[in-house]
Amino acid sequence: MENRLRILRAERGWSQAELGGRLGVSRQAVNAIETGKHDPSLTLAFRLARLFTQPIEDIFNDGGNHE
Amino acid sequence: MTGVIMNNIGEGERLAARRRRLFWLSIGVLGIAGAIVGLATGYVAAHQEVAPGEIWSSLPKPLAVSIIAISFGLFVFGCWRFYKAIDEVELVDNLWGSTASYYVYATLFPLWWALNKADVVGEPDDWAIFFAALGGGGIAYVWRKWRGR
Repeated sequence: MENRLRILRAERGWSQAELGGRLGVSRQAVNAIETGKHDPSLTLAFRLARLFTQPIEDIFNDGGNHE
Repeated sequence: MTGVIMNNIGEGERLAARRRRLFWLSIGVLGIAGAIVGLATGYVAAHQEVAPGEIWSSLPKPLAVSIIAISFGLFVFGCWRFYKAIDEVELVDNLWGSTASYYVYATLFPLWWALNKADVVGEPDDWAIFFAALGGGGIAYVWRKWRGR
């Protein structure tokens, strides 16, 4: 799944470890999500949305059409 | 600019470092506990001059049962601590490893058993199957780790 995590993180000047710490996950987990190798759970997706104060669908894109 | 900002350790990195410390502390404590059990049984084996495979039968039953129960308790505690300390990516990697281990066991044992019944090979070897299952799980786990980084 595509996502804008790397961009949002860079806008705040956070390292992967910094974001991981704020989310309660490892730096490796942040990297796996950013590179699309891991689709986060709903819980983690909501945590990300709250942290970046953006709707989930503005952070993640599953490639489908939403009406 | 980014480099300057990233060199300052933020709240998130402090929390991450704390989690890492707690995780490695629990692993370290369990490692030390395992080493103590290993050294104690090794000492008993050397002292009583018994082969490593006969350590358990050489011990008084209550002592052997106590050591096994403590080891089992420590293992379960370690698994629980590990489960509480890891994140969802690590959990998925572990589940892949566990699934691979299960498939190796569930495939290898019946195959070996059937080949034994057909007089092609000897009886299934418990330890060989155990280590093959661990190895299969380990390979799947390492592959997940390598792929994700």
